[in-house]
Amino acid sequence: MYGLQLLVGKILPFVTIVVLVAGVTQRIRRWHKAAVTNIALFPSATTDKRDMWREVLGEIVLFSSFRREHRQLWAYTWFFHLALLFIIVGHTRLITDWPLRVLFGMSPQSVDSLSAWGGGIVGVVALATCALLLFRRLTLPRVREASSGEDYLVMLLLLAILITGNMLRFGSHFDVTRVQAYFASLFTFTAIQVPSDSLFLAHFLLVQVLLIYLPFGKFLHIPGIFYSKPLLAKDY
Amino acid sequence: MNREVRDREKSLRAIVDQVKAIRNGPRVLQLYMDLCQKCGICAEQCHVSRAFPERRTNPAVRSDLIRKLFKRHGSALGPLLKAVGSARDIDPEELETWQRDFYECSGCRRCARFCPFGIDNSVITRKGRAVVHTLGASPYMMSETQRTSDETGNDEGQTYASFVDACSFLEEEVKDEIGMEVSIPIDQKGADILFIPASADLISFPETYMGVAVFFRLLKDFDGTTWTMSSKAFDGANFGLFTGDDAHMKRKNQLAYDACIELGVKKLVIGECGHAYRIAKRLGPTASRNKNPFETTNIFCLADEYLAKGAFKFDKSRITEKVTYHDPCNFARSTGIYEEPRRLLRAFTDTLVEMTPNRTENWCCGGGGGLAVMDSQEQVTKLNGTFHDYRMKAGKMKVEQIRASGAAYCAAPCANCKRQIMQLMEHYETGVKVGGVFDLFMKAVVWNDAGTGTRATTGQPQPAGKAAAATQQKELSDGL
Repeated sequence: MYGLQLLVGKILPFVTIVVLVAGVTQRIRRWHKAAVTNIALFPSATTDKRDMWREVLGEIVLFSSFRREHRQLWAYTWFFHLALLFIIVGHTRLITDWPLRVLFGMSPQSVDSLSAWGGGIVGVVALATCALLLFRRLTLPRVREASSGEDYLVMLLLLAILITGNMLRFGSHFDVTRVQAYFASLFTFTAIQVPSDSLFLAHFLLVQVLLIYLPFGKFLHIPGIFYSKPLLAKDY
Repeated sequence: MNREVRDREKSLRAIVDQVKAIRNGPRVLQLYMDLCQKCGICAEQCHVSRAFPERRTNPAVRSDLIRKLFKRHGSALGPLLKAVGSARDIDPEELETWQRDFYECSGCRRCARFCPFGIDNSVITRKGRAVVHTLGASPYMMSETQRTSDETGNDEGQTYASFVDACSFLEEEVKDEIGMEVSIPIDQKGADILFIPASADLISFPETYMGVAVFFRLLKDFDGTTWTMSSKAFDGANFGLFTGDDAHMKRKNQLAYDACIELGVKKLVIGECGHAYRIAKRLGPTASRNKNPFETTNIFCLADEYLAKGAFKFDKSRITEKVTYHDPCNFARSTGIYEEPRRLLRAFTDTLVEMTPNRTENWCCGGGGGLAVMDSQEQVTKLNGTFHDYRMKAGKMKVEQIRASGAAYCAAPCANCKRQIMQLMEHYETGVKVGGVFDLFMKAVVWNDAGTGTRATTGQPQPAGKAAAATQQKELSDGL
């Protein structure tokens, strides 16, 4: 157990951060530096930069044309991404309470109940939509024929993370203050005991695997869409 | 090692090298290597994928031909990505597969219109075709057309003499048809407009071309605007877009640029040819972003502008059959021209009916990306059957759309769409006539050589001697 704690809690996090930051930066830099060609696609292509970004942000934030054209898949994916966003915001609390408290003027108690209720709901929504997406991939022939091992593996990884995360949320043995103390010590390089809860360690390990995978795989579509949508929407 | 094996290895190496080079290529390609989630939307929105429900026609799978090879060779993690199935090794028959698969995509960009990540598979298709082209393996008709074009300046290999002949023949034809004196000026310096159609119009679709001549004649009557053709650049069609050969694309469009400069025109007007307009407006030397001393536009925008000024009068009762409008991919999705031709058609007739879906969501005719000109197997060894067979199947969606509209005439302002839809209508025995928008312009327009009909406002005096023909107006009772 101690070896796992050491590896997952004290060594891997630094590898994860380096790989994640360096990998994502390198990939985005490569896109950023590359030559841009005019491939405007109508009706949304425009020569006005402000119009372009208005259109593109609507696409990115609301998946607007996707919502009009493929309502069911839009529902799965939009709620899935929204839940992930809330989950990421919620996880900041494991490092410190203050952003939520300062931003929303909340008391520590209300942060607690928001995380219990809100966190619980988004955790379930994310798990359900993720499962639906995987089910869809397995059952629709035109989706299945295009899918490779990577497409399934990352979905299974996400499912495992969401399941362990929900177990931590709905189980009774999770102590936020200990995790906060751990992260504080991790980032200030003052060694402190890693929480020994095996569910926590499993969840934390899977998340780090995901973060290490991120720069090399398909999930880079989130920063990528900020580059790809404007290409079609911009006209000279 | 025998020669054939050596050649094959050399071509496989060339493919890998060109795929690797995507790392330093344009942003579009780099992004498209990374972003696809395999959501399956493109397969649902692609006419080919629907007509041939096989794995290889799925746009995401076709693009994976390049994507998986890029991941294998363009990344340090190649072997790892291969282990999870998102990268692959090159296949001995790679070139033959690409030759077939990338020419089964018509590059119509309908998938791009619907892709949640903004992936335009036509860019990947074009890259694949470009690699095939550098290895000398483009389908026969593709490479042959490019060669002819480089030799003669036009895709049909017309000489100066045959071009001039064709023009004067069509002048006669217009006179016979509607009794109007038109002239098709050639190399007229100082004209306001240089007009460039697809030269196929001269031979295969003369009625479109005649309609354009009538249109320019009325433009001159209205406010003195003059036009000219160029004997050096009378073909806007450009197979460089289809084969992925950028050098050819630039070279051909340069002819148009040079002609504009030499003749000193204010406007370059492209005719009923979608990809010619896309290249002229957005990709080649004549593109608008180059801040040229002339404006690049198309015949629909020009005609629409004059329609709004009240330059023409039409007798709507002449066209009684239902007319539908097919949006060519390069006019609608790629250059945003879909309302102008409709406004014109609605001025010609009250019988315009729409296909569903339409405009930027319109289904491709099945002949896009240069496919329309290919009939035989075209030396594509892996193709099962001929390109004609393929196109007739790929166009089924279009046929159903046209049938459902109930139209008797389909206006398709693109030489490729025209040819493909004509063949489709014949193959499926629908009895629908196919032509251009300007064919109908000529049928519906009311004109008057004395000048009272069409030049109510700013027209200039007519040359004498034409008065005789003035009141004579041929009835076009033969309909469509």
